[in-house]
Amino acid sequence: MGMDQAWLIPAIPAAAFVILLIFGPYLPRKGDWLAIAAIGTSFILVFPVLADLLDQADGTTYVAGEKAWEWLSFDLAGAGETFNIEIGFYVDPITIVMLAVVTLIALMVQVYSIAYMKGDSRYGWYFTAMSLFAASMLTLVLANNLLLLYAGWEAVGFCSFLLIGFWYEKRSAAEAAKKAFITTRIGDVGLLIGIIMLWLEGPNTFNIQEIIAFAEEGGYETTYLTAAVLFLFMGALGKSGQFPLHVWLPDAMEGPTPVSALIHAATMVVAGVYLVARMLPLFELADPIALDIVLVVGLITVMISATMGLAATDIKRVIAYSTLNSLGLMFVALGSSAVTAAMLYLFVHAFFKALLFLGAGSVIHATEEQDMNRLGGLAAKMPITAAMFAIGTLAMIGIIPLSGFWAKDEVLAVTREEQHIVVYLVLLSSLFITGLYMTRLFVRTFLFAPREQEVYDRAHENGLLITVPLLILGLLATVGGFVVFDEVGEALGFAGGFGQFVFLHEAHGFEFHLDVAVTSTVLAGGGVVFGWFLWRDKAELAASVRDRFAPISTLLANRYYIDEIYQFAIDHIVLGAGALIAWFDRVVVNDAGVNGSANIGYLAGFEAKFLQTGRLPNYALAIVAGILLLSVVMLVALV
Amino acid sequence: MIPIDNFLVLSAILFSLGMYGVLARRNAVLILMSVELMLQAVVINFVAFAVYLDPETFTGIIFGIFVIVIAAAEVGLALAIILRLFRNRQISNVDEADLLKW
Amino acid sequence: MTYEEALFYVIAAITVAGALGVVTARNVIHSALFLILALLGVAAVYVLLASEFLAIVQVLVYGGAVTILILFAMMLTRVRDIEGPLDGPQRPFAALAATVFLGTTVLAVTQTEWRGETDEATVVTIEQIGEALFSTWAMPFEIASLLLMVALIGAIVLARGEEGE
Repeated sequence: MGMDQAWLIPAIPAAAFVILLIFGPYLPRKGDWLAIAAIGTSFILVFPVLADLLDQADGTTYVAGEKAWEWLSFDLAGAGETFNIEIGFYVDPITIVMLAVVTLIALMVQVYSIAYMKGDSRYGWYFTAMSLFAASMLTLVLANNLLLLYAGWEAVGFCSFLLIGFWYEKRSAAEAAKKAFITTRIGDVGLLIGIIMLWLEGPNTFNIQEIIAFAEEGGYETTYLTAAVLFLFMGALGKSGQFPLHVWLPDAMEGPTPVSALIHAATMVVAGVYLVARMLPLFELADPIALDIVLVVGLITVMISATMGLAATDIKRVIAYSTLNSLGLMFVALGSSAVTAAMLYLFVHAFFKALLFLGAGSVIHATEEQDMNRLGGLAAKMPITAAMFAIGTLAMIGIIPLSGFWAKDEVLAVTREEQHIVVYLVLLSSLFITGLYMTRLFVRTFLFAPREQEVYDRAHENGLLITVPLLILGLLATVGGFVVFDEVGEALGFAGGFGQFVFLHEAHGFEFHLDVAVTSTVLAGGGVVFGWFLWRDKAELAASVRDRFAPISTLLANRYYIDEIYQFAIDHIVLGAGALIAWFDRVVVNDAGVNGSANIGYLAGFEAKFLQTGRLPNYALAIVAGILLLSVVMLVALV
Repeated sequence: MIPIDNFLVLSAILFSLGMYGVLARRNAVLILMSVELMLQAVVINFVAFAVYLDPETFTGIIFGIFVIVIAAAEVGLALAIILRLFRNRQISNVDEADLLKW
Repeated sequence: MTYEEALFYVIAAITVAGALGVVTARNVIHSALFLILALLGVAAVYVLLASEFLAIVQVLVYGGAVTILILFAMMLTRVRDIEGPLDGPQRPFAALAATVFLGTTVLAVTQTEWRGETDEATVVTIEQIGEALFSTWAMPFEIASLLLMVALIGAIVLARGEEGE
């Protein structure tokens, strides 16, 4: 078992999916154990692959494992070239990080789901879809060529659609599923265009490494490459919910909470980050504007999501905004070419965000309520959940020594060194806001007096199936950040810290930036303290602040009216164009074209049939007329 | 002697009259008679060409004989059909036999 | 104008008059009688064409058999009881078509340069015709007799009608 067998990692959940799809209803417990066993096996299989990668590595020089099978091969008409599509897998440190995150979180979430989804009418289907998701996501991560990546990309989008709309009886869930699918699809079109562009001018292959090598030799024209990578980035934009395609992610919270934890926090939404990280050499070769766009988009997303998080009252939506916030940070890191920082953030983010979602799920499961205005004081009844949620919150805010701090610190350090000071300052200010809204989330949910006694009475600590995954993730969210230290990495068998495992050009050790750490801690801590005072007790202070800045709070509560703007655009532009096209189809194509030609035939036939009088003399006259015509023509021709 | 054109023009006149009869008349027997006129015109043509232009093989005369033979057979059959039509539907005008219209 | 030509014109006039009578007569019996006139005129034309055999056949087959047959048909279908006009509504078109046809044909005939001798008819004797008919044309001759027999049987079957009719 080594890197060559890495294909087994997605293959096992895929097999489980097929079995569940066909035999699921007949299996005991609807086959949930099969889905969990499959993803558990995949999780275990990551370790031999990692061990193989480390064995073959020479210091910090990693030999990527690649294995491919030909799937389709045919001659291009006229081009004189052979068109190949491969199914291939590629394993390098970035892949390993993604594999570990996906399999581990998927395992935790599925175990958690046994309790959370218990008694649901589509319990079996839930695990079937989860298996498909795991298989697709792992394929996406392992793909060595852009086409396979794209296939996985679309498949996870489809699973996301299925699972957001899992309770499709609820209209809002069905709408959210549609919105997510269509919004991400807009980005996917860009991704496909980007892939085609890279192939068209490229070395007649979809293989990512070959394309990068080709680009490094200057195979692409810079402008062309810039356009291509920006199209690729469009895909990432949609999938990772970056501005302006971020609108679907908050609505996606209509799905079951474990789904939000897995798909919309830890794995699928970071596919965009993964894609950009994987293709980063191309971004660097392109015009600098490409990376600047990545940076600016990330920055805008950070700011709008953080501020919108201040106004949302649904627990899951607040966490969704924090996810957007984190994803924005990752793109800021990528925009500064810092793969290490982005991947580190991705790695630890998966733990604390899944923890937050599962914690929120625990609250929702116990109270059947997810509006913060109706919760409060739950810490007394749900101590484990509250404690774990606190860890997640602090990790998200970035309080030392929780995992979020280390990752966020890397991002901040990179931006301070690489980018304009404004970028750094904006990020710092976002930290303060993050502290505010995350504190608000925790305080309003778990502390002080319950606002609804009835809801409070329902609350209780959940069983082991829910608390154990919470505890494991809590532990990981606490210590996950320590992988930055060389000593920790070496103890785990790596060459050094995270920076010596995942990097783009050269490995680098961990540096602690005291000034950055102090500044960020002060701001984040300030956010926490300020938030505490704002929302403590009955949140009178927050209410007065909200009243004083009424226009701003209204703007935030309405999410900057971005959804309304889109709705307006859809209503007036898309539907207008649709009406026009429909009119064209109805009047020109259908009435004039299809029915028209049919009517011509009908009328011609109907009118012409009266020529068939059935009377012999008429026929005789017709024959004679024909003959005469011919004879006259002949005569004219002869004379 | 008589030039060939005379016979050919005579034939054309007979044929035209026959054609007029076929097209203008309603009664089946009268149409049949007009058809006979047209056949006569054709035979005159055949014979004229045979004796003026092709006296060695005189194929036209032979053809004339065959035309007369076949015309006789045709008249026999046609009259049987007319009789049949009259017996079945009590009509002898061809424009009344229009069951095969649209 | 030679006397032969004069004779031709007389005969041609009689024939055309007969034919005209056939297609214009108001009485069907008159029509049939005009047909006899026309057919006899044609027989005379055959004589002028030096084909006395054809003339004899013409008189026998047409002047005798066909005319009698037609008169019988008129009798059996009670043609004289028919009401309404003898001519159909498309008579003007028929006249036009016939005129145009006549015009084109006459034009074609007069415009054509015939190869060989065109003023003198060569006599073909009955002996020659007999020899040709039973040697060169033996096969068509036999087929024609077969055809006659088929037509005969067909006419009987058609005219006899079904049992009990």
